[in-house]
Order: sequence, then structure tokens, then C-alpha cells
Amino acid sequence: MPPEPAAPLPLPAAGAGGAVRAAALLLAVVLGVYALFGLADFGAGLWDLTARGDRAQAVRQAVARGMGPVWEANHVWLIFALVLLFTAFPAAFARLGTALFVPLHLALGGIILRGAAFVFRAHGRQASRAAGPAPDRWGAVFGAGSLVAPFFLGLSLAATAQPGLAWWSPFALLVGLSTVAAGALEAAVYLAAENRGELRRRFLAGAGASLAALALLALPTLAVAATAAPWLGPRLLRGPALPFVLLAAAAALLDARALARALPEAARLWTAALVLLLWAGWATAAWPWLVSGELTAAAAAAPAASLRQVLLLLPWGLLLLVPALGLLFAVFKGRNPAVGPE
Amino acid sequence: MGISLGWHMLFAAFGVTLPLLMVLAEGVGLLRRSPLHLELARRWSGAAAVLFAIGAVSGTALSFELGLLWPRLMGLAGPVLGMAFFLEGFAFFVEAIFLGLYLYGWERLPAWGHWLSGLLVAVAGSASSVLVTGANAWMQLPREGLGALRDPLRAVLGNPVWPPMALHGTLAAWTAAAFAVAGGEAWSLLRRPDEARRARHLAGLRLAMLVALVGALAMPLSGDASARTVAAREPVKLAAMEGQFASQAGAPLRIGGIPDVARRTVDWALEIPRGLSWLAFRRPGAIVRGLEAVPPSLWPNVTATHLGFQIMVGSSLPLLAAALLYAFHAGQSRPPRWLLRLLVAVSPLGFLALETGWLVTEFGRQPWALSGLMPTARAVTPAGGLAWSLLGFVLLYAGLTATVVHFLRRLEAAPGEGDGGDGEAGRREEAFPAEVLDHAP
Repeated sequence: MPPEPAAPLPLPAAGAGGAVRAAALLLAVVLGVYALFGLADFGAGLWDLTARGDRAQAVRQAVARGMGPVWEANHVWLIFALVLLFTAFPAAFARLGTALFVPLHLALGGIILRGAAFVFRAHGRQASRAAGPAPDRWGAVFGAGSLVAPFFLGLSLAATAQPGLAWWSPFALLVGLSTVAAGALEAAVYLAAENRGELRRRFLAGAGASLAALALLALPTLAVAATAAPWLGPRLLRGPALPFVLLAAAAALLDARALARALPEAARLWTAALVLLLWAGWATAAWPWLVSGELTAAAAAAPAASLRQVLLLLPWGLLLLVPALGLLFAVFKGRNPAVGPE
Repeated sequence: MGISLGWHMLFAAFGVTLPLLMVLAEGVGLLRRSPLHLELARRWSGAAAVLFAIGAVSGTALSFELGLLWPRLMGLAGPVLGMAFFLEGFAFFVEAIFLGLYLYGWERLPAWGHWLSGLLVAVAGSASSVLVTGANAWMQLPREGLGALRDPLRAVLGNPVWPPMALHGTLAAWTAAAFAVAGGEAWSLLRRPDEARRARHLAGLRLAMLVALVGALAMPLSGDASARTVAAREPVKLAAMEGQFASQAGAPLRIGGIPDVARRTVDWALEIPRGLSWLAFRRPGAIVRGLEAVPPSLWPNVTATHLGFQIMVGSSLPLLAAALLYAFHAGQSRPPRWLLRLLVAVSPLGFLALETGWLVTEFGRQPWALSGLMPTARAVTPAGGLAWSLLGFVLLYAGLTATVVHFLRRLEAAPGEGDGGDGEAGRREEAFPAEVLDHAP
């Protein structure tokens, strides 16, 4: 007979203290950065998957070239968010892991397969040239994984706003699709800025289509949210979340204008603003719930002492990371003689 | 979870060690202006790219699975375990960033800057291995119990079992991967390559064996330190590792043997009188606490723990012997073929030792997930579908492993037979499409 576990956890203090707020803000920021970079990698996989016609190979090469050096670093933000979640909010991590067993497994499967497929293909080129052109079976796996992963991540996010963590619902489906569309938009815009000529035109067109899809999804999502996500939906349109939502709508319009005028640098800026504002609006409306109606940040939080340690360590870690990331992007993204006035 | 972790360790070990090797090779190449060593570094970095990526996605899988499979464990101890992962996260981030710079920056960074990013990959890789072991160490010895939640940093970094575990585990990863690489190079040498490739494989073999030899020599020392810590802090695990049922003064060291739990004996073991007492406590007459000190319901699986330990020690000895034999022949420009065959033969043993050593740690802790705090059965998820999850991951991992192996073999054979040294530079470009295609469209 296994013995009883020792004394139960000390209950966290009621109400969200400064440390809890700071930790939640940190989690939101990390997830925001992931939404900015990680989702774009998924989107790139989508463009890879849908590339057709005589330019298909050029599109795929642009994707491989754009993602290659940075995708692993981009991906670490997700690991970081997960670690932060279970360090700072262990109860929420435990609840989500149990209730979202299926969608998180599917997202994970997609992440594993696409990452593996991407390196197999990128670094397999070398091996395959010796024996003629490579059959692109990894491309399909990479593309499919890139579609599945953000969809189920979005689905899981939506579930946190629904009673009882229901994840198979019209609302969750809409949020999942929106997540995919946001990634596709980011990727197309970033790739448009990194390429020129016919490729740039293609990516700009793709970005326009993704933005339109995102806008088309937004209205029914908001409409369904009002009833399906009773803690989140109504609060998106009033109180502190409203400015973010309105600014996001403005960013979307500016983004559309930049795309129409074929200005990829401006579109990159407005796309990033759009994604971050949407996320900020969501996070603000959801606060203080981590799991709507069930777990607030304060109730899920680790003891204040451990939160403070995490927050104290953070600046030191950032001191290490920020210059390193800056170097990575400066080397591979900053200088690009291929981009310039045509 | 165990499968994911065991699988992750395979790739993580390469992720920690290959950067070390490629940095050595590039360093030699730059110092001696040897294109041979630079080419070697490039080839190893190609393999490192694939293995690191798999290590990274399997690491992601692990952080998900902590919640998917062990929600209650994480709900209870997340802050403490998380602290180790949090620290490791920074190291891993640095590793990923500089690996990107290294892999894609051959032409974009100055030579020594490039080497320096490789060095940072190697250092950060080992650091992340050391730090993440902190989480496991606390599960073995959750000092201060849940009081640790008040000061997780000290609970993780101040844990007395952590330094020997981290050292032993990281050295084991180096040794295992270095022997595996050496085995690969020896295999290529056995296939009678042309002169240019032979020189490269030979240089690779030398560097890999250098790391392997240092690792193989340091392993018994760190293992001894680790075992003495276990003896002092986790007596039940030690008893299970050794098949020590009764508490005994002057306990013997049992080599081999199959524990019979019902009769509480170990059959067919070679016993060295007082050996265990001396090894564990440095006194031949010291009392070793047996399994009987705790009720049988709290015993780990004695057979698995004992056999795992025997396999770990048993497989590391041939490695040490092979490394020493190689050291005597290292000066020769053509190592004897029997030695190459031997190196191929022992190359999987390092990983066998790495995996069984970890299994000993985990089996030896059962039935606890957190020693003395939380039983494993209470830590596991109540969600249904666990068997499907397990089956799915096993199939996925098996498939990916097969692909990686197939892939690495193709990578090795890439330059094509008879096409020798100078065709390789051009082909290398194709592995890094960024360079070739910069102005393509």
C-alpha cells in the first residue's frame, strides 16, 4: 500500500498579489512573443504545403531559408511558456494537462513531426543531390504538422475560456482556425519582406488572403464568444480589453492598406501589432482567470516565495538572451542585400 | 513518459556532445590551418543539426507530457521542478540561438566568431544537461519536503545528490555519444575509403576517442562519488541495486546474479566479501542497511534495479578497455583492423550504460514519484487514453529513430563514391540553401 502523501499544499493567499500579477504578465509576454515568432513558423509550413505551380520550388526554398536559422530559437519560447506555467501556476498546468489531454497530444504530435520533417528535408538536400532530385515526402509531413499544431494550440487556448474546458465547440474551432490564419499572415508578411520580385508578390497576395480570412473569422468568433465563453466574450467588448480590440481592428485596416500598396516593411509592423494587440485583448479580458470560472491566477499560483525567485532570476536570464537573440536576427535577418527598391 | 525521456536522452546526449566534437575539430582546423579538420567540423555539424532538432522537439514533448501524464506531480511540485527547468531553459535557449548561428553562419561570421558560437553551444549544452538533472535529483531526494516550495532555488541547487548525479549523467552523455561517433568513424575506415576520406575519418576517430577516453576514465570516479551519495542518502535504492535484502555489517559486493525476491536471496552472484561496505562507506566493516529496513510495499523492483545496475557497470568496462587499447595505438597512421572492429562493436555500449544507469535511478526510487512524499500511482494522470498515448508515442519515436539512422547514413555517404575531396565543398553549399539561393529568384 503506498502511503498517504505528506501535508497538503499551503493555500495561496487570496487575491492576486504583486508577484502573481508579475508572473502572469510574464507568461502573457512569453506567449505573445511565441505568437509573434512561433506562429509564423507554422504559417511558413502552410505556405510550403500550398505552394503550387512553376514557382512552388522557389516558395519552398524561401521558406527553408527564412526559417532555417531561427526556428529552433523561436520554438524555445513555447517550452519557456510551459516551464513558466508549471513553475508559477502548477495547479493550472495540472488542470490543463488533464482536461486537454487529447488536443494537446495532437498539437504535440504536429510539433514533433513538423520539426523532424523540416530538418530531414533541409539537411537531406545534401544527401539527396547525389541521387537525383529529392522526392518531397517530408514536405507533406512538414506542412501537415504545421497546420495541425497551431490549430490545436488555438483550440486549447479557446478551451481555457469555456466552462469546463470544453475544447470541441464552434467557438474553439473558430479560434483554432484563427490561430492558423494569424500564423499564415505573419509568415507571408515576413517572407514578403525577405524576398523580392515575383516571390514577394506571391507572399503579399497570400498575406492579403490570410488577413481577409482572419477578418472573416473574427466576426462569428466574437458573436459565438458572447455565449460560449461567458467569462471572456462579453469582456472583450467593454472595460480594459476594449481599447486593445479597437486598436487591433485599426492595425488590421492599416495592414490591409500596406498590403494593397505592396509595402512589406509596413505590413510587417502592422501584422505584428495586430497579433500582439489581439493577444493583449484576449489576455486582458480573461484576467484574472487562467481557467475561466475555475481557476484564477491567484488560486493556481505557486507560493509567493517561489514566484519571487522566478522573477528575480529573470533579468539575469534576459541579460544573456536578449543580446544573443539580437545577434541571431541581426546576422540572418538584418542585412539582406536582396531586399531593396526594385 | 519513460519512453519519451529515454528517447530524448539518446538525442540530447548527441546534442551535448557533438558540438563539443565539432568545436574541437574546427579549433584544430583553424589553428593548424587544416581544411581536413574544417570539413570534419562541417560534417559533424550537419549531424548535430538533425540530432539537436530531434532533441529539441523531444524536449518539447517532455515539457508537455509533464502535464499530460503527471498532472498531479506537477500540481504539487511544479515550482521546485520548474525552477530546474527554468534555469535549464535559459541554457537551452542560448544553445539553440548559437546553434542557429553556427549552422548557418559559416560564411557570415568571422572564423573565430563562428568557432566561439560553437563553443557557446557546447558549453550551454552541457550546462543544460547539468541543470535539468537538478529536477531529477530533487525527485530522488526531495529535501525539506514541500517546505522546498518556499525556496526552490536552494532546494534544487543545494541538494547534496545533485552534483554527483549531474556530473555522472553529463559525463555519461559525453562518453556514450563520443563512443558512438568513434564507432561510426571506425566503421567508415573499415570500408576502405579513398585517401582523402580516410584521412578525415581518421582525424574524426582521434578526436572522438580523445573525448571518449577522458570520459571513460572519469566515469568510474564520478560513478563512485554517485554511488557513495546514494549509499548515504538513499539506502533503499542502494540495497535494491546490490540485492542487499538483510541489513548487514561487512556486506559483500555482488557481481551479476539474479535476485529472488520471494526467498530474499541473489542467485548465481559472484560475491566479493565486504566489498560493498568498503565501496559505499570506505570501511570494510560498515553496516549496509538492507531492504528489510522498510516494509516490502515500499521496495522498488529489486530484479530490475539490480540487473540494470549490473548492465550499466558491465557495459562500461569494455568501453574503458577499448579506450585504453586505442590509446596505445593512437600514434599509428593506420590503426589495426581488429581495433576498428572492436570500436564498432562496443560503440552502442555507452548508450546502453546511459539508459540503464538512468533506469536504475528511476526504478530504484519506486514506488515513489517523489521519494517519501508522493507515490507514483498518485502522480499519474486520471485521464483515460493513457495506453493510446503510450502506443502512439512509441510508434512515432520508432519511426523517427529509424529515419534519423537512415538519414545519418545517407549524410555520411553523401560525397558519392570516388568523387573524393574537392567535390565536397560544392555539395556542402546545397546543405545550406541560404547561401546558394540568396539571389535565386
